Amino acid sequence: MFELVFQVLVYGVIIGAVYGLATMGLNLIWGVMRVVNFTHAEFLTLGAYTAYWAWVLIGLNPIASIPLSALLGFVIGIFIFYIIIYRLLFSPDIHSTLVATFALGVALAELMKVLWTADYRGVPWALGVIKFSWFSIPITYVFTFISCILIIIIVYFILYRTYFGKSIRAVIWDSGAAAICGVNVKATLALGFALGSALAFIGGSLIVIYLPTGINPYMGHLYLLRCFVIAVVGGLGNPWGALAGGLVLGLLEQVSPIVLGYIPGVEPLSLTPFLSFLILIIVLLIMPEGILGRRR
Amino acid sequence: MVLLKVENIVKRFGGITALKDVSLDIYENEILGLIGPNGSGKTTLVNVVTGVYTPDSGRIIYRGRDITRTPPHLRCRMGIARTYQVTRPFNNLTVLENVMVSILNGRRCGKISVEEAKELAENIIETIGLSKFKESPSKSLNAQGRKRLEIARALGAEPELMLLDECLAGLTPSEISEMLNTIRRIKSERKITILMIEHLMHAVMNISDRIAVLHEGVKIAEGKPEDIAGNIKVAEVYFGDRELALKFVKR
Amino acid sequence: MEDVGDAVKKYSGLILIYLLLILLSLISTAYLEIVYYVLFLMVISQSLNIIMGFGGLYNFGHAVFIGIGAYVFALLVVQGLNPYISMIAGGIVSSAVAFLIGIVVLRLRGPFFAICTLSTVPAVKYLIIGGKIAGGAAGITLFRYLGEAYNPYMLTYILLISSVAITILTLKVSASPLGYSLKALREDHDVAETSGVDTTRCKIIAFIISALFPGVAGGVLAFKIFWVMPETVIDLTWSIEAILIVLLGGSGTTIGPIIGAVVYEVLKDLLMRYFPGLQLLIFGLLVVAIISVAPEGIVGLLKNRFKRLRSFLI
Repeated sequence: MFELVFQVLVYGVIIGAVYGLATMGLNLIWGVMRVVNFTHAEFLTLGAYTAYWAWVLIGLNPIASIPLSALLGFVIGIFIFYIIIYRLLFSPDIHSTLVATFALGVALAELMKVLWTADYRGVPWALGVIKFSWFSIPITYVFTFISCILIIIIVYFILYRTYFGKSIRAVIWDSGAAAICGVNVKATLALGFALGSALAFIGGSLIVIYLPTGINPYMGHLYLLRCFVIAVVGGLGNPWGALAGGLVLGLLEQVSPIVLGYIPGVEPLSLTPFLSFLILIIVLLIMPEGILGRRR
Repeated sequence: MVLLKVENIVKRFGGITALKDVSLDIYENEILGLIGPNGSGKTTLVNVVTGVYTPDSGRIIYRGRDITRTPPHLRCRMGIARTYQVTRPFNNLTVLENVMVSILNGRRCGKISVEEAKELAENIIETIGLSKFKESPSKSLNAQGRKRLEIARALGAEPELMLLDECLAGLTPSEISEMLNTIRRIKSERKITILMIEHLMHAVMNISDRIAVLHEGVKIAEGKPEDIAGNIKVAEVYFGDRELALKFVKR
Repeated sequence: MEDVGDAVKKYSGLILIYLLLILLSLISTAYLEIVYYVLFLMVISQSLNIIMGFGGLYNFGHAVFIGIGAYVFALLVVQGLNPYISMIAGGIVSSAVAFLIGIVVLRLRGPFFAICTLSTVPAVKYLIIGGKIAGGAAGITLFRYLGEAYNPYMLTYILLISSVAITILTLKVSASPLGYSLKALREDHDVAETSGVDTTRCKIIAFIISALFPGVAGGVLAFKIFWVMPETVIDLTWSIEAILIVLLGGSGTTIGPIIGAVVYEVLKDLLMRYFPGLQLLIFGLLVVAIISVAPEGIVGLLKNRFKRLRSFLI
């Protein structure tokens, strides 16, 4: 029993960390420019494909392909920001960016289908399993977790030790005041979006490690619900909120199937996402700012 | 008689206390001017009275009824209407439609047809001087037009109490005297009580029956314009020059 | 009071389109299929227009209403109830569910509402599969109960009647106090409140109305495909298509979704013929273009360019 609990906790934290990292971009973009980036799902998918093609064409494992994903994500993010997002930020309809990013996401998913077909692909990167007395865990998961921590540290460094990071935090807090202080708000927004996009790409690459065969153009949609739950529960404006939310969801996904298994006549694996949806609604209603968000 | 009673209102936003135990009486048929430096809590008070904000403590009493927990739309139907400092027209609706919204949802909510509301709206728009623009989208109005639309829309609800939030800001001197005359006319023709937040000293001293002064969330003075002008505390906080203030009182 | 001439002029655009559709449907079964799809899209988009176009609330979960209608239809038909009554029941239950969802979800503003409603689509699917409700993932098959009753003309005409009904309803709402209130709360929620609009009540009413005919359409869908399961009747694609059509035609206008549905279906067919597999890609980019340069849709563009058409474009 104790082994089971420990295994569940460990898996929950490790997988949750990746979920959190994958969602950080969403929280960041909302915090910086109040845009819900519905293209997030496709950014994840593109990150996954980057890992795939890096594996197939260059032989890079998903963790080694992180810098590549980050770079691609960053460049594509800048591109999308300047071409589409920026002009819509000032539109009188608050839904413009939402619909535009959603539509863009649909278009990107179809583009991927055209380019790479809807076939399921995988990155079968396995290095064996470490066995402890209480539990066992694939070595790849351990490396993934370590990479997550490293990336989070890097993001922390960027946000708190560089000028760029300071300007992002300033714009999150009050863009008008930031502008008066000499911050180039437009450039900051662009870089913020690009950083968010890069993080999503990285997240996608890492998620591949948990899905040996599941890469396809529509995989982003599977993570859509998860990412929103994580983003909202953790606090939309706060990148660290995504980590908190990620851990919550990671643990929930490990614990819930076991608990639900005791209820006769249900399918625990399908009911768990429904539970996460209930949590989403409850959080949206009670504290829309999430666990770590700004209190009004 | 007292139309609206603001009783010991406290309103906090996080670490800031915007209103610290504010009490105020508004008498029927008067024009009460509400003045004070920026950030003193004037608009917050209006938001509490109209129900946009719920106070942390204290009560709002309208015609003897405690309306502290009443939602904003019901307060409007009871007879409390307001204008907004930064004009907020229903952008994609025409001027006529803007006014019709408050007519259909104001005092006569549920008891007036769309055609009747349209006629009434046209009358109000005529009174306010916007007839030329009645079919134009409200987002195309200039500053003066928008200020007038705010008042027209407030009138649509057929209020007993109108809260005007800096309705003169951004107007030229001739527009200001036009607006003041319009306000006087509305008040006498329709028997409306008015609370007017204003920064323009000569305007508010001129038109108000009484004045209340807010400073950093505290009411520091209340009384006739002459008395306010002669009040040392107010002078210290706001005018800087007592002699100048006395000159503006024309009674 | 308008005189008859004005009224005819105003509605002639609508009447024309409906007449065309009826004529087309009689030409051949192939055209009947197309008219069926156009009408299906029209019904769900016109319904969405009430909450999205008038109320300004982007309900990404609109597809759920179709699913509810389909499931109610299936469950009733299996019990032996007349299919046409079952369709109506599907619509009514869908509205009832809209009420229950609405009192919870309509408190949310803008993007939060969109996120939440978007999430309801997979959530309902997971609930049905996970809770093994109404057959779970396998669903309910209807061949046994409906085999002989299938009549494609009947189904298409039910959709036609639904479309006409929702159009008339839209016209009535648009000219009613509810319509003015909805448009006001769409423009500025807080100012609407202080102008006396009971925003909660208006939003809930609009939401309930928007769920009625998609519920009926769900029943029609179930009748057409004979097998109701989560994958086939709860499909985010319809939410997306409905939103696209409302935006394409002209959000908040009565004739907008009608024009939008026709244009969309025509485009979809053309694309399928010449650029198969690329439809969604092009439509995705199209929506981005619409939002950026023509947010008022086709009706908006026509109104600006051809001032004489204004009286027809209601």
